[in-house]
Amino acid sequence: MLRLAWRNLLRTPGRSLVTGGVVALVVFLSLLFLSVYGGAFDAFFQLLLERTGHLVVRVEGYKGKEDLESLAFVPPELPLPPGARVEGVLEGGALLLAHERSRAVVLTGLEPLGLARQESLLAAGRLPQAQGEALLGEALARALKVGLGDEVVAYAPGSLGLGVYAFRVVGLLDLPETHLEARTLLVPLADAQVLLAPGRVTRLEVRLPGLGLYDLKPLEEVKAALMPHLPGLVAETWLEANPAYAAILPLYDAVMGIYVGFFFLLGGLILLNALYLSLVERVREFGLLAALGLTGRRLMALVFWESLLLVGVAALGGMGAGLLVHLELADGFRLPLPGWILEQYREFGLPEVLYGRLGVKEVLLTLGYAVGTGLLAALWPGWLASRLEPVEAMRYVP
Amino acid sequence: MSLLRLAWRNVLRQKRRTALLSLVVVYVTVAVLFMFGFLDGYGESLVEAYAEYVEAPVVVAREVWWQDPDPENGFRELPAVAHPLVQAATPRLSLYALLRSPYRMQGGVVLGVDPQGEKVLSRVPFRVGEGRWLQGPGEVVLGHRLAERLDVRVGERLVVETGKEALGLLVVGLVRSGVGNVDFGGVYLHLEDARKLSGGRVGATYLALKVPRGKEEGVAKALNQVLPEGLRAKAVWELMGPIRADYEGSRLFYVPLLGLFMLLAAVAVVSTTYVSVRERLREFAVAESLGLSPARLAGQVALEAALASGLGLLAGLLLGYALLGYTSTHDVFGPLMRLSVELLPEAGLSEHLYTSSRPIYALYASLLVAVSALLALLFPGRLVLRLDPSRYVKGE
Repeated sequence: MLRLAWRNLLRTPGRSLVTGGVVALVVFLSLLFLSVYGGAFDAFFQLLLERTGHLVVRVEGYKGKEDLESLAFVPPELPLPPGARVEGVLEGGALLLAHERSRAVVLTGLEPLGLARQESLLAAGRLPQAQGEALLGEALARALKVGLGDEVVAYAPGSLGLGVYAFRVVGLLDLPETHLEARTLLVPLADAQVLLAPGRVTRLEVRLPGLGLYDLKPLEEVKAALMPHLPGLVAETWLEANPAYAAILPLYDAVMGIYVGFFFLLGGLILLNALYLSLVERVREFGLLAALGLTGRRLMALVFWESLLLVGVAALGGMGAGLLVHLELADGFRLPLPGWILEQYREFGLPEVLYGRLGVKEVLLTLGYAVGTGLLAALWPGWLASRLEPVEAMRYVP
Repeated sequence: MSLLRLAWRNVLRQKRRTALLSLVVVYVTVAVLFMFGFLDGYGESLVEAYAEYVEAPVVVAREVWWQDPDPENGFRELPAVAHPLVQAATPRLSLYALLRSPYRMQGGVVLGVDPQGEKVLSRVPFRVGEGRWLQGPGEVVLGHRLAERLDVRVGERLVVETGKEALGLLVVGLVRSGVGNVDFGGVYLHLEDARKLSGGRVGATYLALKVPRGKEEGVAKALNQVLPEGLRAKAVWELMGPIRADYEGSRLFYVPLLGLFMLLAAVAVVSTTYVSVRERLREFAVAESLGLSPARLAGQVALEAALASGLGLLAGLLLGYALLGYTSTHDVFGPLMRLSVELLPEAGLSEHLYTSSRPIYALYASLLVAVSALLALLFPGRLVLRLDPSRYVKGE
């Protein structure tokens, strides 16, 4: 049956090539699409992970808390696995004053490790090395008309600390998002504590080296181990700490499934058309085969084999091409869009260079669609073939 | 005319085949209509959000303010703006400030407005979900999500500080506009209060103009030719933030993809026509020996392809416009948009998105018929052109 099906496909090489080409193109485009979108999602999530760490410790019920006094806490000792690092962060609102100008800012106090992570974003100057030194977003510095070496005053009324603190600008940061850059003030943690809340932090960031983006299970285990040591505090994974992004993750699979489904639906309709044409062309042959004793089920199987062979070979071809392109994308690529659009995408946290990502799940999804399409498209022509009356079929005139 | 009738009869001879073929065309037609309707709807929702809520249809400000939007670069005196399409104008004064409720503190941009003037120009005054719109100095209206963040309610006081001045204002209303920027960051106070907060030397930072929808670019261009030196008008598309890139990027991505869909559908049409022509080569030979030229017969093949895909196109247009009709009146994409607004509260996205429905989409989709006919002329049509009538008539 398999040999017969294969021979039938080779009898109309033009049509088989065109139909197979469509299926291969659909498989290729699906893999390309999934690789690019996977890469874009990774970029978004990587940015979140870098900013918050793997685990975030905050005051229990922090979403409902109101003032800095309720949100700030004295950091406890954490029993962390070997290699893990914990950093305290104190964050609060302030008005930053420079000469005649002022801007509302988010003042963030970071430990030396946290400040060191900003080095790649430095557009000018250096990292703070002593008390009273600060990093400003470039857009914020422009708005305040200050540069390196200038003095700015942070005013935070109603806080637990001094409420006013003078900083010298020692570095300017080029953040991807201008709206963040226009309100970012990074200072040493000790200075932020003097200004806002002595001895306290508003969150602890735990970083676990060697743990990838989606290694959520080991992360949950570390979180569970930490919980008994956090009285009045709560630990969240980086995804839980960003609930809106966490809501996207389960949606991602569904949306990708639907997107790829759109491609395959078109491919399936074209395949169905080709299989039906092939059946119509060979009605007399089918009649003869039936007259010679081939049962309806076997005729149906023949159509299915033809479909599966065609889809299988085409899918392998498309998959090969898709995986080759994916290997290229995995090394880094830029979206083929004008520079000004890419520049604007950075405002949403999408870097200009993305890295394609294709997991086993995505490859299986594509293969599943291909096989499903092959089977579904063969269903109707196969059923028609199985119901042919031998005598009528042998006398068939188109 | 006879060719058309002949082609039509041939299309109807294989009803099942034509129906199957039409299915491909229907699918692609619906996809084309829906994607264009979605993209245009998305663009319109952005324009509406920026023109009616976040910014204005056209904004006139000093060139220096566009480069450095600080109140000190605002107008001392308001300029006179004259254009027949300008329906209304109102001054606004935007300031960077620290907002302090009894419990929380947050930075933001406050907008000093003329309460009555704003009613003509913006929809924000009509989207006050709790309390009322501004009536005079000493009052403030907030976006409802911002009020939640600040933990402040109607009837409570909010302190606004700019470093130069500070005012304690009474919260009189909360806006529920469904537009991210307004609900998450909107702070509206009286122009007089904004002037005090800016130090009293600035009258307004810009002039917001109301112009008819679709005329924004033209009015801004015309104004830029007559405005005094140092002033510049910008239309709503220029006022949009980075979200405009998302819209433009989507178009650049989806339009070629739809082109590919149409090409593949045309290939399916031609493949069917090819089989149909091969089955009828003897018929074509008889017709040619009766006097019909090969070129006319090839034309008939193209016409058959056009008619077969035309049937699918008609059904696709019916289904596609029905789908657009539904999605342009029902907020099907609401949940998705609400999630997007949560993710990107400063992008100017609206919580609602309705698709657009324009007649031009039918023209885009009908390109499929033209491509099918052209390809049919090139491939199965060639079979007819190369036909040797004597051989086929003899039945060889």
